[in-house]
Amino acid sequence: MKPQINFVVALQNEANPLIKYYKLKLLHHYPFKVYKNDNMWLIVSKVGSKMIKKACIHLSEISNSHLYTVWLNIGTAGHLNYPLGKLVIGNKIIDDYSKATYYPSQIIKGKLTSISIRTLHNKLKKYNEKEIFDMEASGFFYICSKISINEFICSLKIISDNKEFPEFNNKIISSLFTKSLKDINLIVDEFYKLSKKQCKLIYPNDELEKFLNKWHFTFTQTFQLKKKLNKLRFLNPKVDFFYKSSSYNNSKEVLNFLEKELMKND
Amino acid sequence: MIKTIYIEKSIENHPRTKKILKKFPNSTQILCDQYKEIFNRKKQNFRIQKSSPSLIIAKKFNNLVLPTPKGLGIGSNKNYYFSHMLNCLYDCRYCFLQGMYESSNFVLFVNFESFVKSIEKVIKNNLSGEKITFFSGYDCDSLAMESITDFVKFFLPFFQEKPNIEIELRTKSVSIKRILNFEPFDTCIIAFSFTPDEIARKNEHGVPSVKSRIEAMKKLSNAGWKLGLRLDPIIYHLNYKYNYKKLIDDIFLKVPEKSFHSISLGAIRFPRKMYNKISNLYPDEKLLSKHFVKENKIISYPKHIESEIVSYCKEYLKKYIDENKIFSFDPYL
Repeated sequence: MKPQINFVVALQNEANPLIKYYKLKLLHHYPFKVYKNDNMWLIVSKVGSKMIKKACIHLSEISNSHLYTVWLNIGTAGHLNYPLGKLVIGNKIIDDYSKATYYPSQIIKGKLTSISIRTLHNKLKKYNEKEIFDMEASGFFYICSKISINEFICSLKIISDNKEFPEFNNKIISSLFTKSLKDINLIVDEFYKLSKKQCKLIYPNDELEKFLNKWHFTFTQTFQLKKKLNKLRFLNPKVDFFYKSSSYNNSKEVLNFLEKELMKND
Repeated sequence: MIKTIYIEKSIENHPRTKKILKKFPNSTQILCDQYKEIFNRKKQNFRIQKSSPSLIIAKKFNNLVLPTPKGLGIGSNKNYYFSHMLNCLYDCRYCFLQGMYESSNFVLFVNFESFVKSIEKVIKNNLSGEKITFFSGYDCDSLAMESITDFVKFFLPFFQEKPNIEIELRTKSVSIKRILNFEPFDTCIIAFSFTPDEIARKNEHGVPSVKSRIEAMKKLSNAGWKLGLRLDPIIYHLNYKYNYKKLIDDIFLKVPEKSFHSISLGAIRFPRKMYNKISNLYPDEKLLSKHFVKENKIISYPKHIESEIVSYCKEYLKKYIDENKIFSFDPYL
């Protein structure tokens, strides 16, 4: 299992600075534009909660995302008086239509202002001080909270309109995103480290395969095998348990041997 | 340092809420309908959250006072526990809370008066007049967050007025200043949990040292408070005999026998589901990987190890204290 970042953005203008910064390559155009590099994926969902739901499902399928994949929604939002270009992080997501509410983890937030996001299904905004308005965050959380764990789902928003500049101007979006890239990257870096740390706790599949190829393990036995091997690799990192098991005739004997190793005194 | 505080809307204006929020002026404060929206949701990671837990200020509506699990007690016929908080400031690798809750965020119930009402009700319903002990510190540490909660400040005067009711405050904290401001009373037991220094250093993260806990016990003893010693869980390891002997010697060298109300002990054990959850969270932790067997839905040491370590500690304790003050918990009962 490898650490992975999945970016989800609504507009191509929002995606372009990220594509350039992270040197992402276009993978395909349809049904959504998807870009990737070694450990990062980016999907352009188009505007709205429905579209972002579909995009997240598509990306989860093609990117082999796992429990510790980081899902980052980066987009634009409006606020009463935050200056254009200000980068903020969501701490509560409210779907204005269904009233469904999500509470993103605040473990990683850097020095960003943390604020509630209200996801609208139309463009009518009543600016206020306590929340920002967007059109995707609730759809993003609806899907991502089913496929990942809460600590790995995050919504970052760049203020694109306020009371003074109420018109959303698509032309300035790329420049607002470019100015925030450094701060976005700080957050991405922290998430990546966390994903890496968690992935290290999972037993490597290639090691497990060695056992599965040599003996026949039932589904339950495979589960037990993985668990025992994972414990043993942390207890005795230098020991090759596959080599030490090689003289046993069947899966039961292997599991018994591993169990005895776990019961040994140090 | 708490960076994020969730507040249930219904107690947003509660005086205790306001007082707590004043202590964290730079925190992010987020309103919610019910603490369970944050605390009980699926797909969260206890281990990751433990690196920077948030505080959830809430109101508890039911099950405020509950009977303790069978076999746990320190001499009373009736034993109940109540938890003004869920989760603990400390991060002990053997702690069952890691497997009990989805989240390691702290939940603080600020409606202390409702707890008092429920406790009063239990006392009132005890028509036979049997001895009752209430326990605090099962789902949290009773003292560790006193500077935020004011738990002791509120509850000690209440129990002081109940001369026939015992209250145990279980802790690993050395924050005893607040307690020392009160006059001691015999029905209040300040119970300290210990594992030997070697185990504590490896597994009790953020917990005051064994030495400083013994010092805190000594201060309380000098002030006239009744103490409890809780060797629970007892951890099996290569030098366990030497280490437990040393721990017991160190404690009784500083604290006189007469200060002890009771001593309880029990080997480490978990319900199976709880153990699986914890060992999945911490596959890299030696303590959770070695020696465990499943017996009657309980994961514990094999019976011979469990009996050996509990008997050893019990026998050694008898050197210092009367047997009838020692209570042991057997998971195979």
